[in-house]
Amino acid sequence: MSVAQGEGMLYLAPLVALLGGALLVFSNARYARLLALLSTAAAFLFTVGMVVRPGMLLLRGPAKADLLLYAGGPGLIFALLVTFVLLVSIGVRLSEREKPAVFVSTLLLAAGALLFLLSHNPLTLYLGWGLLDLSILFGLAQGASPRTATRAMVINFTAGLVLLFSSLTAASSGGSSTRFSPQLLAFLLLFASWVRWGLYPVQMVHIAAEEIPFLSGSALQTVTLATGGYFLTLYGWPRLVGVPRTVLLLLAGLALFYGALFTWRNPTGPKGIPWEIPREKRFCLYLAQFQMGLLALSLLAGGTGGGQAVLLLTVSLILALSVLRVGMEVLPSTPRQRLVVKVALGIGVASLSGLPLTAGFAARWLIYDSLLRQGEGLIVGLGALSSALIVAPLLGFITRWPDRRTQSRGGWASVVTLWLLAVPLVILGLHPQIALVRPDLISESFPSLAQLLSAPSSLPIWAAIVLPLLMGYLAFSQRDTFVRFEERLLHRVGPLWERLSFPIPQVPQGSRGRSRGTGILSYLDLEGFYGALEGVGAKICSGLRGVVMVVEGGSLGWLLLLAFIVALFLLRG
Amino acid sequence: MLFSGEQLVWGLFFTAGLIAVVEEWRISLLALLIQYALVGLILSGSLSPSLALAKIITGGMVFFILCPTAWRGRRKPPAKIAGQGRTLATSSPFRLVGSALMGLVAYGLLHQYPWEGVPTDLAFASNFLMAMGLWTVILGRGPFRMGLGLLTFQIGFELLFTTWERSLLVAGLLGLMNILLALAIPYLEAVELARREVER
Amino acid sequence: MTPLWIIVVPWIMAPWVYLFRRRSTMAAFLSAGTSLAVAVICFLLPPDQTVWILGRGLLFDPWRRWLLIFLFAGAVLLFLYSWRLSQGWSFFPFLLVTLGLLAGSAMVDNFLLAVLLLESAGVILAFLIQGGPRADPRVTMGYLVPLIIADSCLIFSTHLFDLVALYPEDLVSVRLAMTALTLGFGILLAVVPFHLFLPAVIQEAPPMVATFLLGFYQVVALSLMVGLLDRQPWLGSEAFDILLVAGLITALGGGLFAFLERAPGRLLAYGTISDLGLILVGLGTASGVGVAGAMAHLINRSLAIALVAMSWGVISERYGGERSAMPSGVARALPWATLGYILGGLTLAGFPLTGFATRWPIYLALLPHNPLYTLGLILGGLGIAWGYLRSLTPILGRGERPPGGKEPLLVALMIVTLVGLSLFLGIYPDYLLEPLRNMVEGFSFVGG
Repeated sequence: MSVAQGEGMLYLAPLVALLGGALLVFSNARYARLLALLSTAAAFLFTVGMVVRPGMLLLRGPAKADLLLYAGGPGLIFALLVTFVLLVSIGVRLSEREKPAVFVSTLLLAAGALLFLLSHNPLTLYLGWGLLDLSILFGLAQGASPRTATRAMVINFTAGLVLLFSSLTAASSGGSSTRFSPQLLAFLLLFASWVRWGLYPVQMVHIAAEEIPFLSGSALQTVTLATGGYFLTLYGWPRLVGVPRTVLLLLAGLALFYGALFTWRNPTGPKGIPWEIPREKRFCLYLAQFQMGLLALSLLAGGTGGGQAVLLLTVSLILALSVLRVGMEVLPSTPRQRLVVKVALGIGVASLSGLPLTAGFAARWLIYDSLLRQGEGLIVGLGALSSALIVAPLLGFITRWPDRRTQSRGGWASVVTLWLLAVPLVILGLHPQIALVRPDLISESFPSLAQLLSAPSSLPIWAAIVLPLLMGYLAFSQRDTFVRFEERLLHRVGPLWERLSFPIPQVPQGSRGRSRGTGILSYLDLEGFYGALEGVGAKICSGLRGVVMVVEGGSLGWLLLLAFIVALFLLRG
Repeated sequence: MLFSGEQLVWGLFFTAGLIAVVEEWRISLLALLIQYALVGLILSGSLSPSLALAKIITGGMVFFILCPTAWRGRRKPPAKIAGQGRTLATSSPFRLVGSALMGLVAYGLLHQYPWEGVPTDLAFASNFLMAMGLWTVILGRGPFRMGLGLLTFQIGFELLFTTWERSLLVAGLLGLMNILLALAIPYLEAVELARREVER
Repeated sequence: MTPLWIIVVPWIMAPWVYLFRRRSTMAAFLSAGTSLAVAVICFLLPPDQTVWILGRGLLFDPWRRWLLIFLFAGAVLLFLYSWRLSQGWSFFPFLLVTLGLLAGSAMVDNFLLAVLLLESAGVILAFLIQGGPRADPRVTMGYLVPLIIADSCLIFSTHLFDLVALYPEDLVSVRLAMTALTLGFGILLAVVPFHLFLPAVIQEAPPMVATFLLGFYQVVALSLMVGLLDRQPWLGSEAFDILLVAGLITALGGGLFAFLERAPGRLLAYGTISDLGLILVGLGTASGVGVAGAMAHLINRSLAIALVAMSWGVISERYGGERSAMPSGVARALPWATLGYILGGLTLAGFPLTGFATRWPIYLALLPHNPLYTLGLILGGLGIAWGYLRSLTPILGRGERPPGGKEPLLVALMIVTLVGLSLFLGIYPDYLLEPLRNMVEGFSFVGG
């Protein structure tokens, strides 16, 4: 392989730093934390360097197998975000004992993500996908349940092969396929991007992220959101001609409601998410699904002008979720520290709710604005309704944050690190255009806050964003009333409800959360669907295996028979 | 010559049939030995005596390699050695009918694909030996019986091929193959017997 | 020094190794030393030589040179592995004899003699497959019978070569020869649907014997086939069509069976069958890129087989010889073996950074024929991947520590080395592809 550009090594440097760091950590467990921090810091600095000096790196391989890295597109923004979040996460855990394997898998994840994000041709994209999947595999080995891990790897790998096939067919005819319909290729790309993003109903990677240790889980969710978001900006769903929109809108809507309803109810029990995952961690999963569903709906409904909304929403989502995650890890020791941590968490919650002056607000503004321009008022309404559902739980999350803790962890260093994540949410809320990093990349610029406030057609959007906040606050403050109302309602529709729902699960001793029947939520969860699929698949495989055993049992007779048949076939005529 | 070519060929039919139908190890081994002798005699009519002698010597060596193994397995009836009860496949009438069927197959192949430069009776004998060898392998329930079938197949093939390829080196290598097979069969049979002893 | 030493030295050393067969250290080092010495001889000998023995030529050209280096260097690894994890007392001497026979088969100019030597090597391998009382003898017989049938077909075809040479317009002989070659190589290489005997053999055989059978014996058989395609132009385009179709069916069929399979040994067998299909497809394209890719993938495949077999060998040995299923909690107990097993499996499946690099040229070469064929190959790889991913469930789960303890240090080092080599070839495939590309340009059947 040869490098076609003199200064190209800068664009490889972050990858090398991360991979080298992983290797060093693996070989020297004693200094694992320090090595991990240094390599991530190096990767972050190199990425910043790429922002200052964008460019391309071409590695020529044999048989047209060239690798092309491009530091300058939307992928650079995501790459910067990934390295930044990773650096902060490792910084928070610096004072804790963490298994070296966790650091290794985290660094590998980041390296895979960077290769994917900086790719600029199909082969590099596919290789990045492959490295990412391999890294995820090792990350899941840190504690994901075998079922979740297997599902995640299977769906990811299938999507990877779909991507490879579509890349190959596109490459075989110079970009426009003559043998395969554009619709099929578009559908394949859509499937691949849907899986990469981890959107419901293929959210297995996000589920797995909640089952593994904090560092790996944080990295996995960040990487999944970033790479999925990048993939969306690359292919742009509105350009997928001929894909059945109704079905996709339905799926995206289900994702939206799945995220919102599960955030509202946050069920426990053996159905759905394993109940061993702490309640607070499940928030990150459901919140991500809600926001991703909203973005998916808007993209499918009519696009949001370039990569703006994808970029801003993904950036704000990653930062806000990271604030929540890191905040859960920081255990302040003094009341002042607790207050500071709570304020930071409050910023994260505010961004997720869409409170003005936060990045989440700007992202929602773009989405609703684009939808209203397309005349999709219904979807805006659905989004607003769903937003109302998540506000109360988010407020509950903040208020439940314990004021007294028996042990402390982290100190002011961790608190400062947490604020490093929270501050950008406010900055982006005030100046969304900063998210672009390189303004020349995306054709249309973000509106500034002043422009948002002064636009005359902005009233419906304000209503769509602010009303859910009020409704959510109302639901939260009057929650006892709501709970009693819900119970009375459930009692009245009891028999019908029981027919629709699964039996109320027996919640084990010592579990947290409410033990309520989860009816429709159980269906939404799709555990039954996947279980049934696996069951059917197992039966088919069992049948086929039986046939194979019978045939192999009398293999000599079958061999001779088949040889005879093949010989007759070849000797015909 | 003591026997005519046609008589020798009929002798081959008989010995191949014996190996396939009769499970008694003494008869099977003896039939195998006679097969090698008959092949040697057939080939001596058309090839150099040294080649024919090589075949007979090979046959003798194979016989003496297989004898001790067959002796060791003598106490158990063949079906028990295989660990299975009597089935249709182990019954003599079924084997007889199957052998006749193989004869028909060999005859059919002879007319469909006549071998160039090979006398008809020789070609038929060769086809028949190969078919019977494979039939014995399919029916065989243990390494010993399958090995006998394999050696029968090998004899039939060599009978055919030696009429085309008369090189001593090739004949030697083919003979080596027979010896190696004859060494492998007792080894596998010994392991099979030991496993059955353990299971009992 | 002549190329004859390559054949003779292992045979000379075999009886000495047999004398020390009960002392594994001595036997292992003698065997490994012999293999290493022969590999060095192959490296030092100038290429393009011919030695005449009894009127037959033994060729030593660059292609055969690297094939023999690959064979004997690989054998060194097998011998060293067997030193730490026994593969049966007969392993060392018998494998040396087999190596000598395979070397002779690879070098001899005459196809008939090559097949006979290959067949002899195959019969001796039966002793290794049995490996004493561990395997089911009926499985070993199930290996021997197809071997004899296959080689008989190939031997028969040599007679037909003479007829075709004399009467080239005789289509019956051409068709018969094609059929005999198809059946012969098809059964010998366990191409679908003639593969039925192989999974049981791989499951029952000691791991290093399985490696040798799949990763080295089949390589020599394939090289015979390639040599035939090179020297017999009358085989024509029909032969390549047969290769293409057989390869596709094998790749898909092997992938499907791998998808269904849970037992690691059988999974390995089906994975390698599917990969073999890919190689046949590469050869069937008859293009420089495709054939070079096929040759490169052959080497990558052997590497993957060794990796999986070594890893699985450690796992099954440490867990008391269990062969039908993957034990639980292996990842924590035997991390290096787990790494080797997963990476080897992913290499067979054609995962990026591992086996993908050598699959890529074959995909590219196949695209002009029909992209659906490429999809078939990809699906075959998917089946293998799913088979290995399924074993993640027990691997990542919780289980008891193995009674046998951790991996032996040497074995762990060997696994890590092979992992590194696999990744290196996955990232820098041109170190393999470029020289092979130059080599295959010399084949007469290679087109653009």
